[in-house]
Amino acid sequence: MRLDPDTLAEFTDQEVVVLAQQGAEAAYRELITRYQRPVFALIYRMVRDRELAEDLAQDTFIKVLNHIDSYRPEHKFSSWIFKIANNAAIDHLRRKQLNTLSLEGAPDALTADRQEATALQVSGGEESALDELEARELGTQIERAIGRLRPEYRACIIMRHVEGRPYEEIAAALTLPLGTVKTYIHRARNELRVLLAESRE
Amino acid sequence: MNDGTLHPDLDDSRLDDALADIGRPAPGMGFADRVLSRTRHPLPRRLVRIRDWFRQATSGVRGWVLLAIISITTLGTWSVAGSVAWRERDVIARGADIAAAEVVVPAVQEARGWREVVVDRLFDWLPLSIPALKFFLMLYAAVSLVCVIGLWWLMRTPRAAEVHNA
Repeated sequence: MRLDPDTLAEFTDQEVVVLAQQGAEAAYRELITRYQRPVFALIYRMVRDRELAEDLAQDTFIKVLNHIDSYRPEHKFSSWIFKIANNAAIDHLRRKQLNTLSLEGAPDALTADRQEATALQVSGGEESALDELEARELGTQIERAIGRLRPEYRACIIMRHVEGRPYEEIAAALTLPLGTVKTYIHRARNELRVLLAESRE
Repeated sequence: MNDGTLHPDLDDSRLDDALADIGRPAPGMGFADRVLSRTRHPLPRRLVRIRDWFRQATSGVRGWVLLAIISITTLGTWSVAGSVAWRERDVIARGADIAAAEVVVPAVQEARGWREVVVDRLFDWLPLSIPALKFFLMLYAAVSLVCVIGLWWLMRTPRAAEVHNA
């Protein structure tokens, strides 16, 4: 089956998944294009290591695409893929106990190259040099504060405030009750305020 | 928002803005290609339907019922076979003796000279049999070819060229 990527871009997730289930490779690529950035960003903020995040993101997509025929359309595709991505990151954190963040790089980074590779990378916008510097400073503080949250809080706050996902989808993706998600986000926000204040002192 | 006035009373909208502004890092170039090169081609829908039907039929309570039926049937069959064998043990023993005398012993004797037997008979048999077996050989070759192509089709990764051209 040959499909035009521009046409596919107008399809809903469910429609693209149906085409992928029928073996359309363009649909595979479309799903990757749609979700590579959010999935990678979620994993990267969880594990704090670019190389590792890329490996885990790849594993997530491979798992999703190899089991695309088991996907049930009654669930949101985004919930499904975020659930697998979050599980991959949490599993890694449990294995490595990388629950803390260092601005100088991941705790297991022993060499200078590795520290540079795992150090926080804050995205800049089209701003003036001063604005960019301030934005970088604030971004760095936020990144550092997020990295110090518990992994469950971290996943919730990233999915809610960075990815803009609704509470229901976060609950489905993280297999948590809706009330728990709201509580986690509330607590995470409070902790962020405290951590940001600490970083100013 | 970038005025540096961060404190515990940081209001909700500012915190929201700050969080929304941290952006989303992207994976490296060629990420999609790397994923696709490691992804299996999906099974044909018909096979998926058969597999799903089988899974459904053998999962949960239905699976246990099926397992119970198979177990009871197997047990029943072996019980009947065992009781018949026990009842007819004399006949079976005689039959075993006869089989040993008529089949096993000559077979062992024959096997001793297997090389001569096999080679001689093969050379006698092959030229005569090949024309008769031609149809079956061709059928076998065709089925093997279809199986090999099918296996390749199922195992291959997504067609990279088509993805690029799509």
